[in-house]
Amino acid sequence: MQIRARCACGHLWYVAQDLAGGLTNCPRCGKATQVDGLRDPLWRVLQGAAALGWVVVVVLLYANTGPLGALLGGAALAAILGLIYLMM
Amino acid sequence: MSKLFELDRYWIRRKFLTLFGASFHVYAPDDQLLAFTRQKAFKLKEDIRVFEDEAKQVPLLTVQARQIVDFSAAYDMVDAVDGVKVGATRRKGWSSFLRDAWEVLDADDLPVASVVEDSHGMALVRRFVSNLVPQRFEVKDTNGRSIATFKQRFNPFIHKLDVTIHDRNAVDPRAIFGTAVLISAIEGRQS
Ligand SMILES: [Zn+2]
Repeated sequence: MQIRARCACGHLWYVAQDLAGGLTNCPRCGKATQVDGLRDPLWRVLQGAAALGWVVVVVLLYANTGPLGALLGGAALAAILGLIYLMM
Repeated sequence: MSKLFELDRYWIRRKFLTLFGASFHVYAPDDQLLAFTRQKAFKLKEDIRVFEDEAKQVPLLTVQARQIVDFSAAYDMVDAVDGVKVGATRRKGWSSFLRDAWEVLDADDLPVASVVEDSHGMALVRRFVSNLVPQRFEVKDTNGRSIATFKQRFNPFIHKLDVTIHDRNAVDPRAIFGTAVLISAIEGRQS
């Protein structure tokens, strides 16, 4: 299976799956380019768990504190998840 | 190109900063500082950026893990000056379990060298008796010819790795350096 790489110069091509999440040189301009990394199993699990956790928290807040609590809590949790995402 | 990549000998010192990750200093044999890097403590995906000095003004090399979790972990190395990938290093999964083994790949992901801990016996002593026994790695090209040596100095507190390159033309010296920094980062963390 091949995986997609797209360079800032606009070139789009496919590389071996071993390179997923890594860097490869663009055949057109020669610069190192990020390869799509969706294969990483832990990354998928983390994304899924974060999304599910967010939905559960927002639903619970809505049930217990009403729409304002759900809105504020949901926004705060989204900000925390965003911070964690930046650390990756 | 940085002086670092033109030298046949240099040494890497890994210093622990318990809260903020670790920092690495790279010195010439005469103890002149050649490069500096700080490993981020809270990064799930290993990302090491090497600079010419502590002010981080001149970037030299980037070493970046491909995946967060990958048993045969692969790390890509990019020359930070021209933005071109120079090679990669991949840890050999199962064969690394009892004795550390790495593979250096070229920019096209083809193996160009292997990096193996000196002997099975010493590797077992390190794992099961005392990790204070310094590590020694032999870097060999695909024909089994020795092209570099990484030798850890005995020091229970600070990880110091001496790098000696025997053949500078066999493998890109930036890839050799990136591999040595990675070994300092990863092996140093285990000890
Ligand atoms: Zn390009």
